[in-house]
Amino acid sequence: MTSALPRLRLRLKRSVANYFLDLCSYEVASPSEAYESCVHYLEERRSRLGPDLFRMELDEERVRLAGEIEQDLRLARGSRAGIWGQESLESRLEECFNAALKRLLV
Amino acid sequence: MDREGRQAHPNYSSGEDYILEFRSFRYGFNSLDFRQRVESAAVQLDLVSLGELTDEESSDLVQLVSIGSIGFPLSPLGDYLVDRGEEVMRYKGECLIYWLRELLFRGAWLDLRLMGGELDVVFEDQRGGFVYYPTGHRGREIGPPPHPSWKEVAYTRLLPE
Repeated sequence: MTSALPRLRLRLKRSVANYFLDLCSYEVASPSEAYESCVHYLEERRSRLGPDLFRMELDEERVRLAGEIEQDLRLARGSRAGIWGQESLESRLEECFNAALKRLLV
Repeated sequence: MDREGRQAHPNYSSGEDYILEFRSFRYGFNSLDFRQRVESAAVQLDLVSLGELTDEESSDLVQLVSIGSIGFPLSPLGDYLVDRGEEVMRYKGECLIYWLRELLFRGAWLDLRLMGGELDVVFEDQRGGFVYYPTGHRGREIGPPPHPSWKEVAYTRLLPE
């Protein structure tokens, strides 16, 4: 299915954004959905690109995704929202990538 | 909270199948531990009765607490939660997922302190449950946080006719 990758990418962005917002709130946060959507996205991306190109572009894709999620959140919540400075969005996305890669390698 | 801050606190860990985080705490659970704690939280909230859940019903609750939704219900309990929607998930303005996670996390927090020798626990016959208190301070009971009840919309399994 040609539309799978963008759909999975969108789901990943939404779930990471939700996880990040929960982390910045007074609620107990669970990364399960963010991890799971990351597994699905990276699995599909690896099958499209092949293992070598997938690896080569992994860091670049992660940085690009972090930027897009932050931009979306700033548009939705505003730059003054109390979420900025509490948590590092990029390191949380890296955590999701690492958890997903660990599962993909098993 | 940054990674350094997170590591400054002791964290509960029985595995890495499920993770829950609150502020600087990051707790990890194995599947069985997480399932039992989810069931216990659901009982505390009066959503289900003690000892009544099937494996499929527990799996639906685990999915609800970990993912935050039930995509494909495996049991009548999952169907019930999906079908009743906001009526149960936001009962009287209280979020079911919030409270399930809150009670689960608090239970692990108490157990961690119990293992660290900071708390003692006794079984109170009259109440039919365990009571925690700081070691050496029996009068200072540490109870569960005040929480809402789902009793009026509790799940009851239909008996076969």
